[in-house]
Amino acid sequence: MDNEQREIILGFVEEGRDMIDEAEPLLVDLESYADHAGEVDSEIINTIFRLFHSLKGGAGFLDFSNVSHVTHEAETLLDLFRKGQGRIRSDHVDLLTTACDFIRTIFDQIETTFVDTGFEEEAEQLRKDINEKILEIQSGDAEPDDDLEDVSQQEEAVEEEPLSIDFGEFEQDESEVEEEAEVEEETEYEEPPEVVETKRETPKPRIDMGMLTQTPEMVKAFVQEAEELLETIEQALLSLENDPNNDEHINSVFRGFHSLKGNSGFLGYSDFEKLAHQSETILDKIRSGVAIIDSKLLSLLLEIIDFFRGGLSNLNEGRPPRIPAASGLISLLNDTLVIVDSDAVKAPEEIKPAEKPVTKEPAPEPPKPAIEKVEAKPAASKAEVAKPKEEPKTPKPAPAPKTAQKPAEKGPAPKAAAAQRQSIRVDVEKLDVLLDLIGELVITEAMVAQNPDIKALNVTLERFERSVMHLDKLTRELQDVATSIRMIPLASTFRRMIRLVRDLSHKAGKKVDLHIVGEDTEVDKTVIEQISDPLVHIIRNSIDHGLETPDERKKTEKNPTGIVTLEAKYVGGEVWIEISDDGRGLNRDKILSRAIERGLVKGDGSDLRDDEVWNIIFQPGFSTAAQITDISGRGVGMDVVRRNIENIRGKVDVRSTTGAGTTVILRIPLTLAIIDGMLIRIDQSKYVVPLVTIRESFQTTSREVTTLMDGQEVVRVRNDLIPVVRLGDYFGISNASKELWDGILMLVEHDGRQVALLVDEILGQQQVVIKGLSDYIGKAGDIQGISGCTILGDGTISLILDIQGLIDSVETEENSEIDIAN
Amino acid sequence: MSEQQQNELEYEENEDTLENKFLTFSIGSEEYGIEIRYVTEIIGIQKITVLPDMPSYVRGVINLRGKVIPVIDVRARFGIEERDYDERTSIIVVHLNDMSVGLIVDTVSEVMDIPQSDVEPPPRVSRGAGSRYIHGMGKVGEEVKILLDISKLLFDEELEELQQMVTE
Repeated sequence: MDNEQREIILGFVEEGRDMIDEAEPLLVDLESYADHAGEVDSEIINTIFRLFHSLKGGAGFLDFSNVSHVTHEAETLLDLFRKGQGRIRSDHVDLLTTACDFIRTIFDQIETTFVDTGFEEEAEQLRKDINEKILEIQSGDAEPDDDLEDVSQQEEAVEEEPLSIDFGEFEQDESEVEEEAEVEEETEYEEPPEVVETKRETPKPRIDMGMLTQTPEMVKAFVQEAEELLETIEQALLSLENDPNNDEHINSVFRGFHSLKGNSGFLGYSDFEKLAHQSETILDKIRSGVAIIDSKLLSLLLEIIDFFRGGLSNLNEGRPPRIPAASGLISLLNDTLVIVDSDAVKAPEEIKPAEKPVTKEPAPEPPKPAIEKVEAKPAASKAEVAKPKEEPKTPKPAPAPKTAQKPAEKGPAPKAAAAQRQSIRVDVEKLDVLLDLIGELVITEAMVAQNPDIKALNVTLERFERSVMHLDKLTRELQDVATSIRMIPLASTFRRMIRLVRDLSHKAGKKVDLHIVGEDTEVDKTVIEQISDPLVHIIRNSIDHGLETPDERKKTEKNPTGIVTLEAKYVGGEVWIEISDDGRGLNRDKILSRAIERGLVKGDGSDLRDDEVWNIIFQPGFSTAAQITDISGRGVGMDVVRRNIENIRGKVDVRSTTGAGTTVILRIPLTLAIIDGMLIRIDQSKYVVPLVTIRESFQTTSREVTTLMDGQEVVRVRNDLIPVVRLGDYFGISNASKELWDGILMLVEHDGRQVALLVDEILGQQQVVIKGLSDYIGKAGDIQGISGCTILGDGTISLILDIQGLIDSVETEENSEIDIAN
Repeated sequence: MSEQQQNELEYEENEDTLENKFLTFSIGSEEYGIEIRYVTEIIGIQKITVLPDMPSYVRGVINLRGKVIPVIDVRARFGIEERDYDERTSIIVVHLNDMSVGLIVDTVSEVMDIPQSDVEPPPRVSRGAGSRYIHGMGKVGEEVKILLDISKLLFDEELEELQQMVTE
């Protein structure tokens, strides 16, 4: 297997994961419909169907038969719901989500081994399970009450298909139509496994005249262009699904097939040519209003795209350009085509025929003769194909549909423009390198601008200064752009929680509504990676411990359905992710008694503030104690939460009101790599203080300084008494300023707590690139008071102060009720 | 034999030769050697940024072309009396376990071949802080070089030392 193939597979897995991630919350959505008498939102089900379809296509193309089999079965099941032939029940959703999990597992393996073998048994089991449900639904169709459903389904169909036709003389018993549809469906869906089989066969050598004169470059160019064309066609087809009358999309599909036909004809790929030709013919009919496009035809066309891709992969691997089952597809295409009846053409208004109960299913009779014709003579011109079907009717475009299309034309214009926004997938490692390089650039820029040689010149360098300023502006912009590239919306992470909430609420026997707010909020990719686990832990706690059972809730006059809210927003320089529930809240007494039991708190703890008590739940090991459910509050895995968040320099806040619920706030800094800092000097060493923490700098007098018995100095700033940290002592060097009033005090604040730092000199503001201290020394944060380091313009390393750590170190000395060392 | 196989063989030979090659340096009156395959470069003494709360032998971090790497003082690691750095003081940068660390030594001497057959096991009688980092004694002519186990030198019993620090 070459690298290119590996990349294709990895791309597929990546996309596939996205699709599963997208499908899962929708499935949960579907379940809520199951609770409401099984009425289905066609929008949702269509989306899920499309996702599974694409997944199946991709898997089939890459020969991942386990994935394609399961997705195929799931797709069939979804198709039944889509057609309104069955009601969605919880167990269906369960099965489909299991399928999602299963596919994820396979993806995990594919990523390392590049094959999906080894899951045959499970795949077969899943297929069987799903198939059972399918059969159940299909046999259930005969039940009398389904008539009602049929009608509603057909009304729905009419709504979707303003171009529908009046069957007129073809009108027949509804049940017959139903049967017909089923047969159709089987033929349609039986196809893909067949493909897999044909693909496995060693392709028979075929001699093509055209192939003799081809150069490899030509083939490569053809494949590339064909892939692009197929992509365009696919996009247009998918858009057509929502907007079947859109001329623009129909034309674009037509043009795509037309170009494909031309190219393949030139190279003598007859399979490609025939199939493209037939698709083009169909599209031409649709374009001229002779036939209509319905969801069945769309699905078929989408499938044909997949077959084309299969053919292209044959080509790519040097096999003959054969498209499996091409002739079968051509006849299927004709089968599926719905021809506009002459009555409908004559009908002056669109609405009238549309109101009649018409199915989306193809007219059963007329296309039949056409099939043989097409098969016998695949290259038949469109007129010839059209004629046998259209003989009694006017082959002219229906006027009514045309006018109907007019208003629709205006809408899609911006849509098309939006579609032109292209994106590419980039290896994250490359992005990391880019960001590193920009970091180096920022440092180097400082090196140039503050070069001692230039300073030594001791003249005013007006033009130089101007250039430096310009360079500075550009590097900042560059840095902003690079940072924004790594920003990803939280949506996918949040949506994954929908499934979690569903599973947990079932398990706990509690009713839970999950509200998601601000999922568009973008955060750095590293943040996404780090918050996923914490979110799971917090939500699990909310549902397990926070929310009461429905009965309990009724007793306290709460809505029996609990609410968990997941909200993301920007606050200052931070992103806040809030997870709140309206449950019973944390229980101060129980946490305290447990903490005292474990020796975490000395005394009776009555002097601790609420937030100090809540912070106890983050103590490692405290979680295990909390698992014994006599503590109603959280605890499970909360130390994981804190550790992950601290890894990304974030912070966790807990707020809780007894009886009203708990809110956990994850506060994460926006930028992870570069911060604005203030450079300070202590003796000969330079340190960086994060600018956001600085409140003010001032000089003090001896009158305002008080020394406590233990030597801790406290300075009075207006009405506040602020503890002083002599940074020199803290870092084991000595301050040049021996007395507080000799140096400068810098008032810094973190999370409402303040200290004053004694520094010898403030050197100025500067952007600094955060670098971790080596792994040898330990992760940043292992050294209290240091969050990392940076390289200054002169090449020296300067440590970045961790204000939170500094404040903690002062406060733990002052206030040792909470023995953290334990 | 194909060219590729030949190359592979040569490469293996190279590996072999690398394994018996040692970079020697002196601390005080003794000569020490470390396996050359761990050495990435040798630089002069640099400005060291001191870190708080570190074991005494971890002197701090230096800027090596934009990379922040920690430096340890081998004298301090051995528990030998310290002395001031001078123009002959060198930093040997070694790469191990995916991290780079600088070793501060008095002087770097040379690269020499010490075949396995000339390496004696470390003497059992030796006491003192430094002896646990000895990999073997290399005999070169009349002289003896103390060959160091670089992994032990960097990582061994760090915990113990850290604990000592805490209890102090």
